[in-house]
Amino acid sequence: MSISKESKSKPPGGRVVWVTGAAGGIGRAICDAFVDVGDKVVATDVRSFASQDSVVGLACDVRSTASIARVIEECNRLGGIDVLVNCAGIMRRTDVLELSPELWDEVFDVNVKGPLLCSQAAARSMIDGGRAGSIIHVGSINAEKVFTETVAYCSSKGALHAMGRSMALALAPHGIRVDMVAPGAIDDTDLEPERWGQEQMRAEAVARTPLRRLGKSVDVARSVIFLASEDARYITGETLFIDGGRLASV
Amino acid sequence: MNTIETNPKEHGARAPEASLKGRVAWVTGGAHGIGAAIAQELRNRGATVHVTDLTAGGDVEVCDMRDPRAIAAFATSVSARRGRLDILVNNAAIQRRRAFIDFTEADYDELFATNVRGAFLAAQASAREMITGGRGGAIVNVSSVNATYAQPETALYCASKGAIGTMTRALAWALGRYAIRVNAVAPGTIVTSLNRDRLADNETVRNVVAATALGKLGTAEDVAPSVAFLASDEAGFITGASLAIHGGWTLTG
Repeated sequence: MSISKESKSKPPGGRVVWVTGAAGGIGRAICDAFVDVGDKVVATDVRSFASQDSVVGLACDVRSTASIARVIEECNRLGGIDVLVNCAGIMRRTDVLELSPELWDEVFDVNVKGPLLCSQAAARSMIDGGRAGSIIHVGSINAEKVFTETVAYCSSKGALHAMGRSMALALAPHGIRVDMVAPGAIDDTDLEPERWGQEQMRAEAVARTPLRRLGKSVDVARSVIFLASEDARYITGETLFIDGGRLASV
Repeated sequence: MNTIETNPKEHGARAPEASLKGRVAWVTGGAHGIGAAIAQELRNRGATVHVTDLTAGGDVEVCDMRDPRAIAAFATSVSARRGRLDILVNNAAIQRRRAFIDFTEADYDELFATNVRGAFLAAQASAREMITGGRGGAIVNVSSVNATYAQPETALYCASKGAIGTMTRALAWALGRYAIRVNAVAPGTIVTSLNRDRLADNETVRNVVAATALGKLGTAEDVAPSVAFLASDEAGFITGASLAIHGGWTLTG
């Protein structure tokens, strides 16, 4: 079924939202933000995950189509998926000369192939159900501003951004918008807590950030809410940087 | 250093409808089109909005963006009347269409005086009021898809929007320490009351629509919510950003 170009996505409060990587700091904040506006949230993570009030928690490995299919079934039980937020991601730190094919694959399987498989499943469900919808990838400032020890991570986020733009073109005829949020230095993520706990690391990050502070997961969540809403109805294939101005600076 | 920290928790999960309650905004070039839609959207979210344009009428006050003294005076007057200035939307801009070879120095001066110098002076004058107020603030510059993607016959406009894009990033650095965020929106082809006739049944426009993923031109109402979002605390960690609102135009080769 194809969707009319005039079709509108559902307003907040009636949507079924799937958030991957929901056990991490940013994932949790995104789930909370959708719950706050009244949506039904299916929160998944590769780590075991308990349901709470108004959030269905499921274990899901985004690399597994069987695992993904079970989540889509759960979304169908709630009325069918309207919004997918691909938040699952991992970072591995190593010197580029020591970066093994296995480590490269590990990062790309979670950060790129996972979002592809989840998006395909979600988009098929939206198209079959005749629902206009929104897919949001959690990318990274590191798609643009790179570091030497995270070659695989930086590359994976660049790939995710480009994949999102391609998907935006491919899915627009079905009334599905695809956008990216690209966080900068967020101090309550679970990506590398031991690193952000170091005062010197934080001070360096603040020094290169025009707003002179680190961001919070809730800052990212609010942009996700905006991009998933009708307020962003003419925005697709776009990347919104939530980085305190980091991208704008040298 | 005079650093102001806004507390993200302070505004919690406030509904977008009330996200600008108590804020005072200045929208330039707001009598018609995108500017008028932006002014209405900011009002819908609770802001007190001062609108300027070249001619007065209704709620619209006069401020000629080519006139540095008028710009400085208007920022001061809003602050004096309302006790604060929280949001500036630099929307005023003009377009000139000619073959590149035929543009005159006068074309250049007039277009850059409004589109770039006027926006710079309004940002500077508003930032002074925001710094004095000590509450931070938000500046949203209306750029264009043409800041990045050029078209024939609008070379000066493209250049002026490129300047706005770069100025946005420079001001983000310069004003970040005062908790003043500076962002841009970059609309694609937007149908307004001002250009509806020109855009009707036009081959160039048909080509744009065909190249636009979402398959239609935008409206002023499609642009306004993004400006309101960037002006609000919902975008509290976003500065120096440019948000493209073009329905997926320019994504493909």
